[in-house]
Amino acid sequence: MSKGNIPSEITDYVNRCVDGTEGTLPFAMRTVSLEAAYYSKVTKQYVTGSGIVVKQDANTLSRKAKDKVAIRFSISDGHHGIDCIAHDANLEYLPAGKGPHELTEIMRVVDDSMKNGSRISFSGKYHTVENKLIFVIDTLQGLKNENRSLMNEHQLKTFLSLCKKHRTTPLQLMLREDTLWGELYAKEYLKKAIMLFCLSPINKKEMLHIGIVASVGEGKDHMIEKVVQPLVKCGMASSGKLCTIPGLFGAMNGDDINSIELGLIPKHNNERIAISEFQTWNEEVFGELMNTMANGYFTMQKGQVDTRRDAFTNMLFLGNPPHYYDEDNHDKREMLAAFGDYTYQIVSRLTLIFTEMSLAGADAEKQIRNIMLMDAEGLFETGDTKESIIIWRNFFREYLNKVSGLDPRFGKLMPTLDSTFNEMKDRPQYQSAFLSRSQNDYRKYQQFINLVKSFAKLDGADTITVGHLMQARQIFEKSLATLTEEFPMRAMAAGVDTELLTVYEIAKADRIIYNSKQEIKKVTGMNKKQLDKLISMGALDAMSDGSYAVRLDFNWEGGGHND
Amino acid sequence: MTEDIQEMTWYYLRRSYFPQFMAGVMRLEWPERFILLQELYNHDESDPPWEIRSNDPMAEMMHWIGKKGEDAYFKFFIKGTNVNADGSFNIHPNISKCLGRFGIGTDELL
Repeated sequence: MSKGNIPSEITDYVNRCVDGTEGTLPFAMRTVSLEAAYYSKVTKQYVTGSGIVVKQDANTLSRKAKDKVAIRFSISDGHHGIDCIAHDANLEYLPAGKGPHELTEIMRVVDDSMKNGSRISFSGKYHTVENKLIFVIDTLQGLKNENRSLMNEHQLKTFLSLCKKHRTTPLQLMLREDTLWGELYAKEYLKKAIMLFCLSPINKKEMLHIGIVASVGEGKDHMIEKVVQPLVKCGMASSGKLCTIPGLFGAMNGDDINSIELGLIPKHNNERIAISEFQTWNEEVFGELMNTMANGYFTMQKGQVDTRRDAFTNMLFLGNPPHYYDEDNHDKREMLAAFGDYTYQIVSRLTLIFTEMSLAGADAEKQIRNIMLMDAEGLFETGDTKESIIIWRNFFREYLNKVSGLDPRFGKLMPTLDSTFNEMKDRPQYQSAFLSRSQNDYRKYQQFINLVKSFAKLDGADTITVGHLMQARQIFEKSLATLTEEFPMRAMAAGVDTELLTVYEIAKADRIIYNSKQEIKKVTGMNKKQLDKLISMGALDAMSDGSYAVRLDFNWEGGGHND
Repeated sequence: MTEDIQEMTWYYLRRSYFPQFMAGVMRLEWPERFILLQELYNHDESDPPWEIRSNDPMAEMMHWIGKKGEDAYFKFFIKGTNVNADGSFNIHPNISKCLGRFGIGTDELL
């Protein structure tokens, strides 16, 4: 539980920033909405709205007005869609006609929105054109400053000095139940990881990917819905076969191959996405993700056209352990087998990895039930509690946006950071987990640097301190501990697939001796190829009487070649 | 300036590494703990080796630690730690071994 009350001087200042008394603009959630425009079809009132262009076509206005140009496009906010037109016809034909410069500028903004997923704002009203209702654009512009923080330098500095005066830090405030974590009980390290995830990456070095594998019903989705999404923009990827590669990355437009209809990842460039139940994904989706996770962009080819889109997107993988996982009989790293064939590669790209059956801890049942009861009573939706939650979310949304743009420096702490990483790297457990394929893993070093800098950002610091180094080291070690138990990372690196591991685990769990080939196939569901592979590796012994014995002491280290 | 950096690193090691080391070493049974600490102590050759202190060096160590408590463990920690003028440092593998339940990672400070 959070210790003591938040000093009133801080609370008052935060309230003043949020309501706009302190500073120039109030801090409020900026939403992209087409609702008013969508429902103005009946009244044909003049309305404003915002959204993203999903389809466009520039052509002649009509058969009657062949010398006039019409840009037809569709705008969507994810919930509603409207068909729009911008044109250069005169008033007698259709109102709001534009001159050539203005129409070209509209075309440019529409094109940019479609290619890069940037939001636009617009105004206009519905008219009937050739028996069809269409929204005629009056004004249209890109929302270039939409992602800029509303918090100014003075507000940031005042807030930081108030924190210092009251011997607290912004991160400590962010982790409290009476600010951002009222609706979810979680362990401290997990809260820190989520706050790191809420920073916005500006370039590929700043991307921070996190994997959390926990038991079912632990509130992973609840965490996204109640903590992350109300705080910062966060896309949610579909599970299983609903999540397609075009849906994630984008697809080339059949009519205009230079444009890509953007997928979820590039739409959240400089933001973040969460992937719930990632264990239900097809393995090839992980394969496509690997470059994007490492480089912050992806390329697409169609015919002779190559296009590239930025995707500096933080990714949070949330999922359950493989179905055969048993806490008493398996080590925690086996939970990560849910990444399938690409486990080794994905793990290398994750800055933090946590495999915990319980996200809140075994002793947290009472607190969790309390929160659930409060939720059932609607206490988070009424009165002071609701107002307080909204104020802190609005404040920290702008704070996180503001500090994401900082570039804290190591200064004289560089050698200390280097030694800290060397100490971890020299441990045999680290070597076993990450250096299976190469002598050095610079990716982990880069991730550690980013982690330290991110902790400094969360504290709004320009200079990295020993305290930031300590926090980064603690959470990095906590994460590395996941990978250093007896998990067959070498086997993964050598290309042993997870299905093979799974059928072996099922066979081992059921019995030691199988009377026949048919029996072992029936119990485990393994095919002939898998059976032969396990025998050749020495995981199963084929006896002369036709029975099969499972070698319980079989060691997957070294890719299974350990006879 | 150099002293500042060294001091900062010592502060970092004392706050971040030492509590983990102490928690880790105290989980060990005494015979194993003795060997590990003795190696650390003898690593610094400026003092005579631990074993010449008495006929029963393990009992001597238990007695000494019992009397000094945390300070005694910090003494062993210092023996296995070297902080350079630029703030970089090296720690003895025996200290690394104790940093967390699995040799790497810890729950103590999280």
